[in-house]
Amino acid sequence: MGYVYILPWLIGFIVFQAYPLGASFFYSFTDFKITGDPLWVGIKNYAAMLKNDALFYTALGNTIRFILMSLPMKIIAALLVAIILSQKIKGINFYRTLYYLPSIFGGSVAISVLWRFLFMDEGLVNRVLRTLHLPALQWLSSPEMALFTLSLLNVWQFGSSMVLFLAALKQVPEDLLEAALIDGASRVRLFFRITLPLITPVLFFNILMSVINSFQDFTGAFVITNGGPMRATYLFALKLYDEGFHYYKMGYASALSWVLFAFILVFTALFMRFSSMATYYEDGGKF
Amino acid sequence: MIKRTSVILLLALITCGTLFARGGGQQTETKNVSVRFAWWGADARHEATLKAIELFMEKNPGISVEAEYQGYDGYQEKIITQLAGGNEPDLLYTHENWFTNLTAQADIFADVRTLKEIDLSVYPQGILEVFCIFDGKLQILPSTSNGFGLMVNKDFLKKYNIPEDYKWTFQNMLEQGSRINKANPNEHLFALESSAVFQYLLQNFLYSKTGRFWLDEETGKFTVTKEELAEFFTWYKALSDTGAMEPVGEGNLFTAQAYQDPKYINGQLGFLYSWAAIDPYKNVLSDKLIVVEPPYYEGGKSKAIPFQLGMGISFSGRSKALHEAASLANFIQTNEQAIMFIGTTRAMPTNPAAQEILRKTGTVDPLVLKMIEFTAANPQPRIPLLTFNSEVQDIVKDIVEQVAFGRITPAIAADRFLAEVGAKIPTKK
Repeated sequence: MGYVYILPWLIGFIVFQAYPLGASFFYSFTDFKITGDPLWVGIKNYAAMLKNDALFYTALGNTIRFILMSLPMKIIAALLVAIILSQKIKGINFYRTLYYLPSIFGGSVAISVLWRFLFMDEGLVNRVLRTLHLPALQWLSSPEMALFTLSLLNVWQFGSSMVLFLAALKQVPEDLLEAALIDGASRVRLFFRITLPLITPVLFFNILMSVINSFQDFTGAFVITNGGPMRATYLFALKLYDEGFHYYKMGYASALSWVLFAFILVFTALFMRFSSMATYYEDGGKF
Repeated sequence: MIKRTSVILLLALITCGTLFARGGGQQTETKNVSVRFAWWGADARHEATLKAIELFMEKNPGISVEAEYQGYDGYQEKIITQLAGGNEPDLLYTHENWFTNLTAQADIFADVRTLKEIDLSVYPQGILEVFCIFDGKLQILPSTSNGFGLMVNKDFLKKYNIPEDYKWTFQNMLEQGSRINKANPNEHLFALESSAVFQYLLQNFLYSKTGRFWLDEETGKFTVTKEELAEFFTWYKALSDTGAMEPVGEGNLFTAQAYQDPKYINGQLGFLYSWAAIDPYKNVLSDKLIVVEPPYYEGGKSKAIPFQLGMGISFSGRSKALHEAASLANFIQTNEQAIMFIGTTRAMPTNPAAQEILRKTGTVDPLVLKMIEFTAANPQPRIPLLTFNSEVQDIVKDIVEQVAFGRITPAIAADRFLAEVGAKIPTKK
């Protein structure tokens, strides 16, 4: 009888999640073109990826660099802004909304197009720099700078992390902070010795979710630079897209997607293991 | 017990309701056939095509047309996804260059010769035979014959004392471009995204110099030598180093939409390369726009201009409204009013009668006419189809970018071209 009640969800899960997951796993062991039957090739796709595909390593390296660039900036920005917005100031709700908005539409094509116009050589950012008599930079046209510029788009979308930090900061007991202040602790010491340890569960959650999302980042690299210049912004998701929809190698693209899944899974498992050692829970519980 | 009964009753009611609704839909479907029609383009083309479709539906009340249109970027990928999913449109605009990828996958499109609604006698037979037949089937109904040239800003030429009828060669492009950038470091003779260098520069440089394409399609062997390739890459690097060409990193930001480059809009670029769909360029430059023949290799064996069929209409072999789709395609390409609506938003129609209609009524844009005419006067033979293979294009794009950024020498670029492109040839034939 219970199954009847969950039937709508069950059908949706099977049709839109379980079946595509199973199908893509099967296709990853096949040579599958856009139409026609998939041809079983065993682990050939995975072997080719590791032995013959230099761009696989390029894309993976770029993605890891992208994560290492954007993650610290995003977390620090989110935490800093959350600390500021946790103060009691007039119009605080307006500012909270304003900072949250980029995380809603920041990943859209329209924002990526806007980013391109902001950061191109004759874009607004360089015009402002020139007006201030500062040197203009090749934000998107230089292989050295392009990935950093894309990571700024990711960082700009710190709103959702900020909201979680805000909620966590609200949970820090006021009496602990007051007692420490009375004992002569400085604000900085208060933050690092009391506030930060108490918000580590949310901190680690934000880090984990940011890494998982960054592994799959696609829109900015596709719309703004299309992986260039010189493959400097060729992210893993873009490689997957090219293999599937540009070269029509659906089997190989499926294999790439499972490798991406494996990377995220391994990282998540290791991260959970590490975080259980470094996360403070008031009730002493472990994750 | 009552609860269980109620749930079962509810499920039964929903199921019956669905069946009745399905029955109602079937009655409507027998009277009105729906045809899905996809194309790409800019706004002018969309509006023109929609007008032609409306006219078709007025004259064919039993057929409704669902239009699916968008910009060029991503169109091919969308079509591929639809083909993979089995939900492609009934008829769709395609490009002859795509068939090297598509027909390698599977038998997808209908043979146009089996569609009696289409009058093939109005099209030049030579074009049908050379450009439209793949794997023994006529898979694309020619829509336009394209011209190729340069979209020039005449005010820019005037600024640098270059006459409008200047005969561009690959050699003087470098000379003039260097002079321009020296005079003003923010201005360049032209811009070209690296993904287009293979087709627009390398191909033409080699053909114009040697009189032959880079690949002999019959034998699958290179006809180009390492030295010839190195000469091209040396020239290309010089274009980048001297500022004759807009820096590659900047030009690439406007791939497939170079007319949106602010430098072109602001008159800081002399010209862009394009086929004869000039509307986006005209919208930017308006009466400053002129079209000129593309450059050739001075002292070379040929001044022939690249020619391609351009776009055409293909029909899904799985369509349940194939004959209605064929009627629509035939109408758009042969009905006088439809031809006038569409005009030259897709360059010049292949159908000579349609060309005549546009000429008589003055609908054809003189710039489009000029491009078509100078191309038709001296066209290249058909470009090797492997030029349009996605993997080959990306290989060449990578090589070209590394040359432009000074990461590899022209000699190494030539070696890599022969090795990496060569590795793809046998598997693609």
